[in-house]
Amino acid sequence: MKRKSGAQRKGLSTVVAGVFMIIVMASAVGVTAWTMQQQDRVTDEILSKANSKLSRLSEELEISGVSIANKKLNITLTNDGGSAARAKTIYIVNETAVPKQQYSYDIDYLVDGRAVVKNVGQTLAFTAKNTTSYSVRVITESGSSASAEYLPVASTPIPMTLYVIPPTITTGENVTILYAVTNNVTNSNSPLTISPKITSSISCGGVGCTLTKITSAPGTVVIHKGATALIKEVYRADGPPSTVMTFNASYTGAKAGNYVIDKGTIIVVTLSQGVVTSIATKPDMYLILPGPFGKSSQHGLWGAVVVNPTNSTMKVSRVLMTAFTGSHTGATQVVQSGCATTAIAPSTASEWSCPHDNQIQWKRLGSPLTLAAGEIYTFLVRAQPKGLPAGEEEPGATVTATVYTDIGVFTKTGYTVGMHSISEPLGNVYMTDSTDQGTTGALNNAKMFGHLNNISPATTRTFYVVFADLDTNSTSYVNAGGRLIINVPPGFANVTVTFSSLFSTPTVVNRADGITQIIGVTTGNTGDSATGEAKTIAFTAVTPSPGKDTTYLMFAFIDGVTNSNPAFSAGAVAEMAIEIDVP
Amino acid sequence: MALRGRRTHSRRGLSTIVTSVMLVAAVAIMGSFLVTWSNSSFTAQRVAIANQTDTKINLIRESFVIEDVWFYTQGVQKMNVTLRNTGDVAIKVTHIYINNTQVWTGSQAVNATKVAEISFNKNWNAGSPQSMWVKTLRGSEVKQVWKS
Repeated sequence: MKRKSGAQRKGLSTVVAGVFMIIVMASAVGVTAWTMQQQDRVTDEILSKANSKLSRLSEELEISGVSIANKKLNITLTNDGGSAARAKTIYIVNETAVPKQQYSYDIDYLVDGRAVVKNVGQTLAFTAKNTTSYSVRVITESGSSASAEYLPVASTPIPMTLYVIPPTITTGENVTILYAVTNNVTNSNSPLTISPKITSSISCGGVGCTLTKITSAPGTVVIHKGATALIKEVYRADGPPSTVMTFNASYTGAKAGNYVIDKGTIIVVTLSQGVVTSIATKPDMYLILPGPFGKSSQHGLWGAVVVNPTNSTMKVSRVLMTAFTGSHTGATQVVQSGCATTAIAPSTASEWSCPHDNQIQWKRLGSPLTLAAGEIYTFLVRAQPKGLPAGEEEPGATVTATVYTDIGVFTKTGYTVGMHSISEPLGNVYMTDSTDQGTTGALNNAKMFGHLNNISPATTRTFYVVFADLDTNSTSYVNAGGRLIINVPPGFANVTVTFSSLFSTPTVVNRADGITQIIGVTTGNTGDSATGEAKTIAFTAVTPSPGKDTTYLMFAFIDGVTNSNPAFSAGAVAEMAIEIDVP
Repeated sequence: MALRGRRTHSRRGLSTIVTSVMLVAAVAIMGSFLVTWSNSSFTAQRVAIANQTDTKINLIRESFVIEDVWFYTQGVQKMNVTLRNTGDVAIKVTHIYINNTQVWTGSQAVNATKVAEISFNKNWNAGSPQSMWVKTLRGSEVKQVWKS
């Protein structure tokens, strides 16, 4: 009993202490567990934030188009991501204003994943102009953003190219115009919408000269970013050879200077276009010959028009003009050896001579005359005719011209000059530079020309062509009714006679081959004046636009009868070269 | 012998009882003190941990972006910073630094999902990059570069 009672007393305090310890331990365990719960809350929030960020990354909002409709911005939003994006704010910056102006508006568009919302901006209180540049930025509720620019076509040069296919055609064929426009505007995703504008012109004029559109370009063309649109038009072209077709392409409202030009040419189809010779080019030569080369003590005009066709200089050391007659009589002399000459061009008298009968020569071997690339020079001299035996006439002595150059010696034949054993006028055709028909004008040696250099293309120019009797013998002349016929070469447009006081009103005829022919008929005798007589036809024409430097040949001649007995043919000719110098 | 033995046993029992009572009382007093102290300590610790946790959670839940910075001149050169609260707790913007220089300080509240604008004078050169650094009261910060 004692032992039992003593053990109970000793255990009471232990029990009490144990109870307190249990209470304290339970509290400690509770606090620990709660603390861990708090850690879990933090961890949950971190996970939630991470998920939120991932969700934001899944938004792939972009502005896939900005245009202007109804004077409002018309924006298309595209969400390429998997999470829906809610557009909450739009910022619009007027990039054209100085300083730039920014506008912001609250919006509320839910753009589902892989969905598109159109017409954003149509309800905003913002008036947009299609001549102003805007940058647009849209902010989503999660803070991501998308931006784009609206660039008016008038502010951005767009690369473009024009192709004329084929570049050369024959008259009556179709020519296709391909207008290529590339949308390479790098700071805008918007497609480019343009209204193509293609204009055309043709260098010739008058009947038979047309450029007719067969197929038109579409009214509007949408070009997506990075894409190139090919816009086609087809034309039918009718015109003489060397006619130039010019096409100019752009689009409505394009930036100033943003256009492209290409040209095509109407050519003659020749039997052989592939002739290969041992030299690339050779000089062209044309002649100015009297007709009749009257039996007179005075001097008729002879000329050789030499064209340098090369791209480099050409040196000319000698020019020969030789007449061959069908007569076997030694007294048949178109010109006599050692004949009297009047040098015109070159003007050094000693350089001109008649080395033997029937030959006129210009020679400068020591220091040849240099012609620049493409340059034309007319060797002009007035020479004294000799004559034929009594009773003879030579209506067609063959004339051959030869030019000596540093790229070779070339000869041209096929011309004639006529003479009579009796007194005849010195009929001639040539160019002058005014309507002065007297001794200070067309009858002045210094005013006689065989060519024109450096003529601007596509400009209106006045030309003067003279029908003259260069002798002062009033008893020999070309009868009234003689005709001066001028063949204006193809490519010269709007030919209009402006002066013809000694002719009846000239007729102007457009020939099918593209030549414009002016025919003037004299109202009186030509050459029945003691001072010589010149009759001038002046006309204007729009010069061609050949695309590169080109020489045109204007051919003029006299068709008349002299007053001699028996009468003789008046048939002076002049081949006059005109260089169109393209800048 | 029997009486003597009983008397002796009776004296010894009293002291044992007193001692036991004293021991139990001491243990009770100390235990009560320990329980009281531990409860107090644990409570204080819970409050501290709760506050710390809430602060951390709020900091985590804070989220905002610099939605726009507009550089303009109105007599003097100015900047207008637009902030969007993309989180779900309100924030208080307290500091803005540009190129590591404090340009604004204050307390601009921005409720959840809302937008607030802060304007201040600041010289800027057109076309230059401007490093924007925005801090909130809780310590969140966003750094972005904008071209003036």
